[in-house]
Amino acid sequence: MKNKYSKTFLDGVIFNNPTFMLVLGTCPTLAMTAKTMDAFGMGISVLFVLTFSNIIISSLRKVIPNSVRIPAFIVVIATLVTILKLFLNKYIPDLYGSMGTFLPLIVVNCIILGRAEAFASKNTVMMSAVDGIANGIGFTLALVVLGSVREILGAGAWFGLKLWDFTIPFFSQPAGAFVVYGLAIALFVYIMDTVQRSIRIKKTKEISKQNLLGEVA
Amino acid sequence: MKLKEFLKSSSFKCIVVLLLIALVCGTILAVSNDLFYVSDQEMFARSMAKIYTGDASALVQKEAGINKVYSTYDCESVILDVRTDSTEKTWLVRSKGNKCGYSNGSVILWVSLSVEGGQLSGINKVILDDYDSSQSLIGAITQDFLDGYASSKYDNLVKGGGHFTNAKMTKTENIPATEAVASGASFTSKAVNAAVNGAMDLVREMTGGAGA
Repeated sequence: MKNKYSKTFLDGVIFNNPTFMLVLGTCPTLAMTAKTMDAFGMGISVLFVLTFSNIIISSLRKVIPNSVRIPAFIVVIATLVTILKLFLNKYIPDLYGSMGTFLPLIVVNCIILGRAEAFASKNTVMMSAVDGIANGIGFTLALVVLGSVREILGAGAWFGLKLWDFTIPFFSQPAGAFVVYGLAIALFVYIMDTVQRSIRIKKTKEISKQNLLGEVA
Repeated sequence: MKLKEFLKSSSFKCIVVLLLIALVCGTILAVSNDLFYVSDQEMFARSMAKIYTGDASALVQKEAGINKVYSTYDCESVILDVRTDSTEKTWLVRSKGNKCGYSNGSVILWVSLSVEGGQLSGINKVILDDYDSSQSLIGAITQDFLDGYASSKYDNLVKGGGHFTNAKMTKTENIPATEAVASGASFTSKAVNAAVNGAMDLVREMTGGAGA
């Protein structure tokens, strides 16, 4: 059982990372990564909405008829996004201002509706909560990585702290976002392939060793 | 289909479930709206914290300036609030670039202006206060961009009764020497220009300064 939770968690954060592996939520990924703080804020916002939408949808999965599941999911997600919007406007107005139109657009974020449809509507509340947290963390980490690269190269700063005067403004521009995102996907997939290949080789060697020992015995 | 059959049908169940979800969500939103309500005073205090270093409660409201409408090029601005310090050397104007943003939308700014010898002498600071949701390029209106209006290179323009215009205008009209291109070609930046121009025009008019 514990293994099941850890598998779901690792899938969301690494093996099926919504940003780098599934290429979902591309719009906020490209738009909100010019500054690391904005990227972090967007990631945490999605984490909140994703976790609670997964919990609510999972707990209502036996009540919601199949034919009206999508409108029901959208109403739940839109409610959570509106609550988040009101909360940010009240307590973190700077982040609310910098997120602009991308905050209400979380409603149509593919990751949230995707997880609701593919996972939360078919699994238990606990598993759905873990899935929501994992995918939210995966999305946040991806955004923070992209935001860090873009802010350090484009503005010579990190989380608003000035590091040096050398800047390449291209990385702060939308075109720079595409380039950084593309390179990050390539690097992530390369690392994942390398790791998975080495795991496969290790397993194969172990099996061969066991077979050899069996023959000798 | 008879009523009894309808009440037992899946269509009825779908309607009831959706209505219940909408009702619960609506109730939660109503409570949240009340819980996280940001009052006008709170909004004002937030804006003042960004734009004015003195005691905001000591500012004097100039009711005569409120709701005045100005027009520069093809864009109008409406003055929503006017406050000055006790010496009337610092003016704070809440100005709206009205219906000339993207999709006829609007942008609201607070503009801090300085007055010397009874005349408008410069722009101290400009901050974004509010905008309607259709302004999809509002992300480009950063504080760095707005700080450009307070640049010393525009001092002569501000003192001489000039206005700001945007890059698009330079392609269609001859810009008079007193005017300056301060923004890009987006509708949103056009509305920002109009709001700044309106704030300058108001102070010029109320102080009897240049270009009134």
